[in-house]
Amino acid sequence: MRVRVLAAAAVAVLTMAATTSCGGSADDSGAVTLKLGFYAAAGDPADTTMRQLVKEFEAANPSIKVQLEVAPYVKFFERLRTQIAGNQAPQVWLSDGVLVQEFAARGALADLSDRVKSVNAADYSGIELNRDAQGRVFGFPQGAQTPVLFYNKKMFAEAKVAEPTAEWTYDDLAAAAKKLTKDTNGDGKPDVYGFRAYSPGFTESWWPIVKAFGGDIVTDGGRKVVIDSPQSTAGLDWMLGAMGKDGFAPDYVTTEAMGKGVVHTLFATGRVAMSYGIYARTLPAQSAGVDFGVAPLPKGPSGRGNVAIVNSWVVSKAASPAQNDAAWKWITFFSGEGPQRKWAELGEAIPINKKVATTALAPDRGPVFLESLDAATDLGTNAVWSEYTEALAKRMNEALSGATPVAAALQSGQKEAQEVIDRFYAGKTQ
Amino acid sequence: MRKTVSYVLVLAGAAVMLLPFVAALGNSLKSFAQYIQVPPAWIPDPVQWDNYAEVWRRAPFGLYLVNSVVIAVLAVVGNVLTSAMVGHALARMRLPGKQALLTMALGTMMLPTVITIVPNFLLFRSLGWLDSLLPLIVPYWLATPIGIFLMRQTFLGIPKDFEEAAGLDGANPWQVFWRIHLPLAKPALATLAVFTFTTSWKAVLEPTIYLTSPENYTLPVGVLSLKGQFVGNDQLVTAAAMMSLLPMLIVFVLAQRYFVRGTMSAGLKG
Repeated sequence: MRVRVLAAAAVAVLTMAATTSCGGSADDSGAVTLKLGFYAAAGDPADTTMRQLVKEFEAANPSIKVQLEVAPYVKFFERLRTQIAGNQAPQVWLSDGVLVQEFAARGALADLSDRVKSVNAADYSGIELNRDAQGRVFGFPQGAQTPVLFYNKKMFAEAKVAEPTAEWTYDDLAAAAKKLTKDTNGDGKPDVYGFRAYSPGFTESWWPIVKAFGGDIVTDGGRKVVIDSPQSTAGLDWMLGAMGKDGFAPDYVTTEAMGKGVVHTLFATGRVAMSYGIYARTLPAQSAGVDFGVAPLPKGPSGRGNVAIVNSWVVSKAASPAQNDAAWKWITFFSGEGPQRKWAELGEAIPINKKVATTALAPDRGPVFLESLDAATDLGTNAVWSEYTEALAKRMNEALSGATPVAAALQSGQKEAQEVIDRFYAGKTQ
Repeated sequence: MRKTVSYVLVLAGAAVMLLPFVAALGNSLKSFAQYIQVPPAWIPDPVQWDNYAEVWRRAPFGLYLVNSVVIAVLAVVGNVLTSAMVGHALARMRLPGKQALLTMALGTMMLPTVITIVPNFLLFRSLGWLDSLLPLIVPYWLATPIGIFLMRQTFLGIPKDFEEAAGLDGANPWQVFWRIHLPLAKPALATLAVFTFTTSWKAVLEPTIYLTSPENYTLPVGVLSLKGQFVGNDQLVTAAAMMSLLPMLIVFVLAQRYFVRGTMSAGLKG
């Protein structure tokens, strides 16, 4: 008897669990249902603002019903890759800019090239950074990130060091950083550093430095790795000096031991007086109450080495024509002045609507970011960006930790990254 | 003297084990600025009780709790029942190729979840189960390798005299299993129940992949949903994690006696 009761209860609860399933892609009234995916923390301002914007969009487009799929960054992409494999991806989603070509090359994205022709490209930043080697555009910019030099005004004032200017060179950076490096607890070792040279997030570390010293990472539309050069060696040598003999930056082991999340708060916690940081790093600095300014990246022998990541809206290739139209409507809505202004208030990303960007960013910091964005190249994006940069970063980290000589690390890094690229593109004409 | 040394050692061990918990509790009551402060402060100042309220404001944790409980309870019932049945069959019944079956079942333990997640996703999609709780419950009703192994070992250790005596009294195999062997296997069943509960309770990958609607989220997914990309919200994530620990702690305390005995008898120490 008890067994039967147990079995009946289990069947009942399983039935209940099954009925919690969500609906499909269209409802009976003929309205288009659009699954929209984006990454944000639950209840964060970005989550709240996005939901408000979706409501406004639905009000303006009554025939479109938006179903949101939200998850934090890492979990969002973890789930998305499985969804793509299972043909269950949202019809439109926010992609990290460096992943657009990865999704496109695997046939997951609709080509937006013709759609993009219908807008005035001069009104938006980042469209060109999204163009692939064949001139196709698979993503429309949502928000941009580019590294600039963050500096702690209070620490500069206390050390009586002049604040960075647009004319700074890497020598100026090093000279100021040395003066800002301090041993505050008297143990004979610095505990406050002038500059953070190494970061596991290479966008804010070796990538722009290598470029500023005249090196490059990939060319030929992301097909050829060219990092093994005397210029790249010079860039890495400068970093090694900063972390070694010059001692104005925490060394590789110290930095790496802190963990990725903590590394990004080194500036916010006052452990370094200067750091390269993308626009979003203003958030932890502000949350921690740091009085800070930003300056252009210093000039190297070959310029500033500006780079940018343009996070973008992408449309699933599996979307129906009606969903594709609805997705494009959403993209153009989000790129409009009102939504862009609301998004800019979050302080997470540089607005891609140029009109909004020039007025909505903080007047003391905005122009620096915008000039950097204008001068930026992409981050070597291609279909295997995650894999080849991982292979490269492994060798770069070996060089920066002193475990491998720079020349040997660059040589093996170039070879291994090239192998990753060749493996994917072998036999492919596009 | 000897007793004192033992107590001191046990207390020292307990203190070491408690340290991360105390640190996490302290972190859950800090502001973001204090959370990232170096060197870290043990005592939050000021104490941010509001972190706990903020967690509840940001996400429906009551709903996540209900989902986690439904999943975990059904997973426990399903796994205990079916693993016991399979384990019993493998231990006590004549079955051609049962050793091969056991090896195959145990072999599946070697496959990391990431390898099977896509095929499982496709399977659940074809069944129409995505974004429901079923993919997190039903697999437990098909017995699990660890459960099968644990129960098989337990049933192997029960003397044959019991079932022979029951057989003489006219008991059929089901009655032997249900009335004789299962009650004798209570410690192992409790152990399996706790293992299943904790595995199901703390699962992150599968719920993240299969559940897309927030109303279906489980507690760990809800906790992680607070994690920000640029400002980590770590103090909120820690506060949410502390809250999600409570039910597991209660289950462990209630089943502790059986759990320890069960792991000892099944050789699953450590």
